[in-house]
Amino acid sequence: MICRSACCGTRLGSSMKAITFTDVSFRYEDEGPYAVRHLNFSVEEGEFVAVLGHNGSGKSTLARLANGLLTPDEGTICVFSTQLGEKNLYDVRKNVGVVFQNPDNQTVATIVEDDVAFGAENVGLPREEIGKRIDFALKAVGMEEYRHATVARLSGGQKQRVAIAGVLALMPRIVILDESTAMLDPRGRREIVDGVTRLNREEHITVILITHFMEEALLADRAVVMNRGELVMEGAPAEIFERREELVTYNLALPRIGIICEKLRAGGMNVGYTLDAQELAKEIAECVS
Amino acid sequence: MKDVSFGQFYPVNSFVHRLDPRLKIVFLIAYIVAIFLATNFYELAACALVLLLIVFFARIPIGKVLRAVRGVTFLVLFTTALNLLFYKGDTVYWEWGIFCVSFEGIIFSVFLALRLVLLVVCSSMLTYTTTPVSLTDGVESLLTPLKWIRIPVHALALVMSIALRMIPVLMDETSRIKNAQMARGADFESGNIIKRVKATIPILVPLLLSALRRADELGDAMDARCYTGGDHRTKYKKLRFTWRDLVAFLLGAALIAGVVLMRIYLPASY
Amino acid sequence: MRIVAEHLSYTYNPRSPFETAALKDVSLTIEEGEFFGIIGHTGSGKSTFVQHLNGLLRLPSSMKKYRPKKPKKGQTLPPKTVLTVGEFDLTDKKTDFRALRRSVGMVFQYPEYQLFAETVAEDVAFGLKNFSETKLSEEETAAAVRAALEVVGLDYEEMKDKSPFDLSGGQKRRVAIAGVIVTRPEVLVLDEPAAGLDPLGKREIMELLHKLHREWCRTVIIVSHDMDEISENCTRAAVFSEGTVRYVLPPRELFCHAQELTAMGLDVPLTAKLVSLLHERGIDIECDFTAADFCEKVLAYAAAHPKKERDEGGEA
Repeated sequence: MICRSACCGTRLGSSMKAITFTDVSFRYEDEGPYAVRHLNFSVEEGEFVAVLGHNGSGKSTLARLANGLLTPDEGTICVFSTQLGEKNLYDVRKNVGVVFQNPDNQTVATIVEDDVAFGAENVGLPREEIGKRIDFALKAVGMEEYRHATVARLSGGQKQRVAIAGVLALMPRIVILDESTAMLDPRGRREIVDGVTRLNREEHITVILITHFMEEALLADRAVVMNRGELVMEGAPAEIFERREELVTYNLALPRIGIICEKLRAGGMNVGYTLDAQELAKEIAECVS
Repeated sequence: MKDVSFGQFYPVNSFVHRLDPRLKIVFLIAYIVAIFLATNFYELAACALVLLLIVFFARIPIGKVLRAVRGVTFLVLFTTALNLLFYKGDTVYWEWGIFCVSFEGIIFSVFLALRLVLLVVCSSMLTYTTTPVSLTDGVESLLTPLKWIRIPVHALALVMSIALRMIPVLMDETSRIKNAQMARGADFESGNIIKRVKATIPILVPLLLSALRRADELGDAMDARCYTGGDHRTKYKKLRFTWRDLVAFLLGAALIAGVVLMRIYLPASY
Repeated sequence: MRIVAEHLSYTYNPRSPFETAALKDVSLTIEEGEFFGIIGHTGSGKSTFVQHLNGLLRLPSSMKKYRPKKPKKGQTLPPKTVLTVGEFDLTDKKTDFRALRRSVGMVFQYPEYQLFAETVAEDVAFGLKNFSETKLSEEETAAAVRAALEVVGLDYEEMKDKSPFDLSGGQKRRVAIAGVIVTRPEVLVLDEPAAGLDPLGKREIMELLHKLHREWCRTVIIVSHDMDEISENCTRAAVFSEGTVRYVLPPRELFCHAQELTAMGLDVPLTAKLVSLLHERGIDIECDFTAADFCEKVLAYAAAHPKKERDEGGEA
């Protein structure tokens, strides 16, 4: 089904829109508060976008709307040139993979490779093709050696990587991580963020990373901030982090390195806002003899 | 951290591991029938020998096999004791009221205990050598005829596989909640039966809520991976009948035939 | 209450293929009044250690069997295991574990998932009822619940009749903490108290713990894998790795061991990382831990070493 609404027109010559939200509103209960309100938002193909927001800002609703787990009350959502509707859900989901928060609640099978195969089996691929996809997906997340391992014995970060592989086996062009790092320890979080960055750079998969950790947004091409269901800030991550006062009003706390930058600036030292320790050390060094 | 290995898959690559799960299930059923057909020690010894061979070819350590038996020690001892005390034999050694210990009683109870042990060992061999996925695939395939009478065989098999997957998760969760409530002074070990049942509410309510939450999230995750039921699905692991399965089939058939032949030609004595 | 552990070892599933030594000969003393931190990876033994503190994991009762009275020829007697919390001797089977649990409150990871009662007040009162020797009057219970809810920053009148399942995530966690501190334990142990919260929620929880430490529980012990959290909040910290305690030091000194920590796969606190990066560039700043101290020292350094081209590197 070809989308006819204005939002989805592909502009020849420029890059293609991967996902477009046009004036989307959604609430979980009638008469309840809006989880997402008049949202206009789009992601280019091949882009890596970070969606920031405190708990309850509507950022997770965004992920569920994007692959049709929820249907908007108003507005339209287009994935590539297809408008999301009941009839094409299945085709859209092949293109939009979502990884969720809890590493224990996403795997259906006991053995890693069986779980990775699940999605590919669902779309009716032939056996040999499924085998190839498992190879590809496990390699992409660096879990080849765990192919025959028991999921229950893996660490949290490894379980999430298996979940990502399970999504990749469908060869989606867009992968959404819905707070997939929230329950992991620092090492696990790093594994995931590095993994999706590589997917974006090497496999050219469009990545939408939904998180409340600002430092995870650093590697993204673009960051957006959500508050009360609305998109309130947008720009390159570094730009966003410089608008500190604004971030605080949206209940987002600066990561520690941001606080240090700020204190140094307040003390009269001319350092820029950065979230990278190397960069900050360099800037400090430039300010002293 | 905790060991949740009751009847769980033991990952080694062996002849038995690679057999078609359908064959293993059928063989298990045949084997159980054989144990119950066996009426003397020769026949039982033949069954035990076959089982030992299977354990050997499956490369499962003996310790692991014994662990399976340890789980049912109480049951075995209990039934043995009952048979020992109540079996009315001719050669009586000791008698007191309704209890009596006789030569035949001893033989009979030992025989039953052996049967029970063989039963447990052969069932656990199935789960040790077969991954839950191929086990459910096997069950699904064997039950296919039921599809004709509109029983959702695929859905049942998937439910079984997810249940197996979630057992360790929920066991962990149970012990976590139990610890948390014990830290708040909950007492699960004393008091009468009503008090004890009541004491489990602080465990059951959070556990149930968590199971529901997990089911909800798992449902979303399955939807997101294009799950729409069993109709258009393919299977990555095709069940295939190979020469191995043929050999195993012949061995199994020989065992059953052997037991039957022994019943006919050997004198029925212990 | 002073906590003393000496030569403490613990093995899960002993003498089985799944045998795992979770603690190996751990010795650690936590003084009364400390805000103590325990850092380590998943599987480092940190959770196993704290579960001993209120007897949820017990020392194997067969321990004596392995400890012969007299040493065999040519062998020395293995050192004696000691584990005491205040006056409770946890190596003694006759210890009153209920009384111990009353004195040592334990908040597990994601404590909101242990809520079960119909109302918030009922849930908070659960521990109180379990631990009290005599039946408490309704007024006494209500007063204790009110105090516990208020100290965690919730309004008693507004909360008491609500279902705990209708609350927001942050509120649920506070109710769960109130349910543990309601019996006024002397020692409060929290396993990853800030797990899964957003940065603002994290900060609020840490503020709450400091408040509890000031007003409510003499000793607070937090288990965490977040180095920054430990370095900015604790008086002393122990680093667990592979079942052993590697260091027990105040954060200030602890983080001078940056290389060793990295080798254990742990993060180094941000300030320590910056100090070492600056050191590479020839700027020597004393090793320090809180963000505020660090900035002060950098600014002081800048004032002492002003950049020549620019009029003032740091005016301070």
